[in-house]
Amino acid sequence: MGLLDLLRSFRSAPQQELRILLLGLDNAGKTTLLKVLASEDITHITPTQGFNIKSVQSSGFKLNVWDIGGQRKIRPYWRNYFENTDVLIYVIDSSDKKRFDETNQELSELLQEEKLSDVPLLIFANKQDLLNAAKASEITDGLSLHEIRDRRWQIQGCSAHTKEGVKEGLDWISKTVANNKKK
Amino acid sequence: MGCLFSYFFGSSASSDIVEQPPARQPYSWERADRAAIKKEDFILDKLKDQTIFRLAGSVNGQQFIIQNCENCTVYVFDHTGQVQIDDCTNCCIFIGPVHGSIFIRDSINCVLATVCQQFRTRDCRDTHVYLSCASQPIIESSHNLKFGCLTLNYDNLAEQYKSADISPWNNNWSNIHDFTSIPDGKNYSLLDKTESVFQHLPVPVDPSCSHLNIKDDNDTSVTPYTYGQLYRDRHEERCLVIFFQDLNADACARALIQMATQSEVVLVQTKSYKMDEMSVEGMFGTNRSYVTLVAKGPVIGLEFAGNNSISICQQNLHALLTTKYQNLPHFISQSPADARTQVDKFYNFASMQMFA
Repeated sequence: MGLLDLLRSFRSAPQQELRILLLGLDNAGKTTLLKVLASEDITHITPTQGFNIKSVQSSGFKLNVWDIGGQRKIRPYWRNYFENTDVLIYVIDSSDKKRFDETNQELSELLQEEKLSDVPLLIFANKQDLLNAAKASEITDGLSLHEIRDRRWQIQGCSAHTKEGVKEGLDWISKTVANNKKK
Repeated sequence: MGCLFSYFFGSSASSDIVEQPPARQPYSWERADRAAIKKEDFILDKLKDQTIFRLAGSVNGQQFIIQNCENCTVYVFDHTGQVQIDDCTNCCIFIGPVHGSIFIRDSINCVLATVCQQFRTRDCRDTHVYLSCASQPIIESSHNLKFGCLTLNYDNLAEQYKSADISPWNNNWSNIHDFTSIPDGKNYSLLDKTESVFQHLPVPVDPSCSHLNIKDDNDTSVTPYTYGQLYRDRHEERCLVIFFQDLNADACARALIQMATQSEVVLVQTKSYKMDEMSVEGMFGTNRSYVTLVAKGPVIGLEFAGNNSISICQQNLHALLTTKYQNLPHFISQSPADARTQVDKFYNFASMQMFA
């Protein structure tokens, strides 16, 4: 499932423009994920210095996906992109155990942000194809995700390189956004 | 059932991650053959004063981790997956072609040589880095790093580049981006061509490596030596040579480089990418024959520089095309004024296409 399919599945959504924000530590795989969603080649990906954006339109509906650079030095700029976010995708390098505390810290701070309150959260436990990857269930415990009470969330193990698990994450987004309308 | 519960009664928001639809095929990482590989075999942890070798086939594209090591020398003569190097001191490390990124953090006084798709550092200092890197290397919170162009060959290295999906013609070793640049001065410097990798990385002498024909000279190196940013601002005449996709393109390009650089001509940069129709029109005008040529596959572009580089390259290329490499489709600059523009366009189209 790519961005266009996702967009078409939003027909039942109340608004006509949807904004997805892709955050996570540097080297998590955000840009690779974005390119996979856009069905583009992933052999020439460079560390993101600012941000990348992909937009797709279909039948009057528009979907924008923002991928923001995650180096420590530029995380203070994340807040410039919070406004009007409909879905937050947080990407984790499941094989970078040394930085689990760091990513835990960043995610916790994001969840306390006023401008991101109520925003549904999809966590991609990326790089499941790597030998040293922790399983999605371990990451769920490590991040204390079950303590999240203030928004809908889902964790999905995936590999942006092999594309496995990505569609399942998008399916959840699609269902979640559709459910917004029912409220 | 947990999923349905949360959809109807949204706010308690706990998600049942264990439940999966029964028809799903196992993911590749859930299969038995994957479970049989022990990740411990790919992690070097808390080693001191040791020399470690990994030969071809022993890593075979898996993730590799080196952490908490001191005074160690590590050679991985194989292609790998993502690499993490953490908390190492006084270590000398060679990693063969890395599919994905190599990330070195919290390490001091090391030498690292590698071929990779991405190179990243954070919180490192006093370290030499020899690279053939397919994208722009980035550094953060690091000081006194010295970057050099990796020229190296050993048996099977060329095949390992292919396994890692890396082209020897895309090397950005000298074009560093610093996320924490300082106002006066630089956190890194570029090494001279004379400081090749074995001036800082020990030459492997173990019997297990003697059959590998390990060499760091420029003539046999898989990645050709390029001056990159060392030459970027100099004003000598430029010459752009493009070889279109062909079985002999790689060999002819290497032969031309060897011939041309015997004179005062230097190789500044090379780039290989698949040109699209818009780039072709921008570079060559409306000559349709070029459109057919680029459709066959990626081109190899060589940027030479030096006094009379155009006439020297034209002579050398002519010699090659009339002997060993007849009918090889190519392009070469005709005048100094045009050459500068052609070089700029070639790189601009590359950036737009490769990193869009």
